[in-house]
Amino acid sequence: MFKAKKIILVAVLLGLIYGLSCPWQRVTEPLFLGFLPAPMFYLLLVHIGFVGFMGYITYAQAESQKTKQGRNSPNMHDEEVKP
Amino acid sequence: MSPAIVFIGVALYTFVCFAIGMWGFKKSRPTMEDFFLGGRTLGLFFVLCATWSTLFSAFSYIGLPGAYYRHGVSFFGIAGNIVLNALCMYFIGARMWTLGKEHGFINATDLFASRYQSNTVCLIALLISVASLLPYLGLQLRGAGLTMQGVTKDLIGFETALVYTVLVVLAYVVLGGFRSVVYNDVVQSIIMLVGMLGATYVITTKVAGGPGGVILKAAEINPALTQFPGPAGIWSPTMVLTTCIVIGMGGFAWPQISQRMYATKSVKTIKALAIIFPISALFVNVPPVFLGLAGRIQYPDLKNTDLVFPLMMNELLSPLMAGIIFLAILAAIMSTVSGIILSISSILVKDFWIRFFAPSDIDEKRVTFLSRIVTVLVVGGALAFVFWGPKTLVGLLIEASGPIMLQVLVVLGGGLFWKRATSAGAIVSMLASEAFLILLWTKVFQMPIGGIHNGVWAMMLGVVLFVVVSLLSKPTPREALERFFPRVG
Repeated sequence: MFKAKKIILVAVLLGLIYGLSCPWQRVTEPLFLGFLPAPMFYLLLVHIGFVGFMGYITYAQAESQKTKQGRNSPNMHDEEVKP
Repeated sequence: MSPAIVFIGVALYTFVCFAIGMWGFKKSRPTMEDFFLGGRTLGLFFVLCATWSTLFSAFSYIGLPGAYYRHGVSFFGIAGNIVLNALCMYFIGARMWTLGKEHGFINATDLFASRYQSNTVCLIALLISVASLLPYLGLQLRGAGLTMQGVTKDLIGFETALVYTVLVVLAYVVLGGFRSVVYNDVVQSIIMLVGMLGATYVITTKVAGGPGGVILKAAEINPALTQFPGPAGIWSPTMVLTTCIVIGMGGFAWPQISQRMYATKSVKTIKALAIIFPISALFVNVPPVFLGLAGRIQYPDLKNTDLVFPLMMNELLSPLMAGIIFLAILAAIMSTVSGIILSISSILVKDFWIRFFAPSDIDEKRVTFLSRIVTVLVVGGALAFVFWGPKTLVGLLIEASGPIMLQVLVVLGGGLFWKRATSAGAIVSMLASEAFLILLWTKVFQMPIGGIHNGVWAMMLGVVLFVVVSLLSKPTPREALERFFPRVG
């Protein structure tokens, strides 16, 4: 993973952790989906953010693994020399 | 609640537990790894159910609605602990799995002995884990008795309920070990899920026409019930975040949860678990908000708020539905208790008896037999400790179970990700931070800044001491580190 990408990921993680502290004090409204008060809804968004974060890291690692394997595989060279 | 429904339900439930216990017994092999980890073959669905049902106890049905009754929506802030727990699974759990597979670890404590090349580190972590979990186990069992007595309105007495819970759990744990526990966890998870969602739908509809009505009516009673920091003004951002750290990360260090990391079949399974777990946890964490607030609307002046759910269950639900909820509570208690029993037993057998006393040529069959005996003794010890142990100490250990284990997580995470970490750093960090936690908890010493959980203060001290003492002490020999981290790098 590139250094810049790592820095962005750390910044996103810190942002999510900040969101976990529920900074939306004294907020009551609106009622989302007809039953979720705003503070709960925002925290649920943070939950989803964390899930997305871990999902993205898994995806990025898998992609980087694939690229590495592709580079090392002899088929890759075959494909490269084909017209 | 109808006695007939209670007895039929309990009989059916007991039959299912025994049948699953027998099934687990037939599938098991006479090895310690199989008895405590089910042969490290757990797939995603099973590990999800096992972690989910072990982490959520009767507290989700009794304690949580009571807490929402008092604090309103603001208490939902600490539901964020689940994502921190999942982050620990993702990063620490995945690494534990790789090393566990390589070295045959069964507990976090034997990882300590191997990583730090020190039986002392292992012994301290073992003592902390057992001291924190044994009273907690006793409390769960006592809670089982009280809950069953309360929910059935004395139809089942306290002693009967206690003996019943102990016998059923022991039967399936002793029979099939981890396999029986996990298979039972799957059934118990389904019962818990149906019970929680069904009860929420029926109760909120009867009280206010649905969950949205509950929130609007609660806001009419007191607007602070639907906002942070809550009616008592407790849940400030720092308090929410530090409590999440203590419960979520301390909860991961609980042996019954960290042990699940070794039991899964691959790293991919652990990572998938970390991603799915926070979402599945919402099914248990969200409904109590509406249940607690519905209770606030229905019974505005309740003195003992923990009674809010049993009251609504008996007054608002049909006998059949109340019977299902009763079984759900029973399932929640048993799934938590069985996981804890198995973890304490595995720690005592592997990291105490085998490490310090057993002859080197001991055969697996004898170890498995001994594991079954220790399992029975653990339950006896837990009950004795809670009923006859020194009240202040028992209370402290139960209250501070999460924060106590958080101090162990510092040493676990540090050992896995920092090669310069040493046994001296680990020992000083654990002892000093636990001692500091006790001083803070007993109010002998108080921090000048409020709004931060005591467990996090102790953890900060632990981290500083861990780093400083590790840097000042002799590094772990390179060969030992290379043996320990062969693939992780």
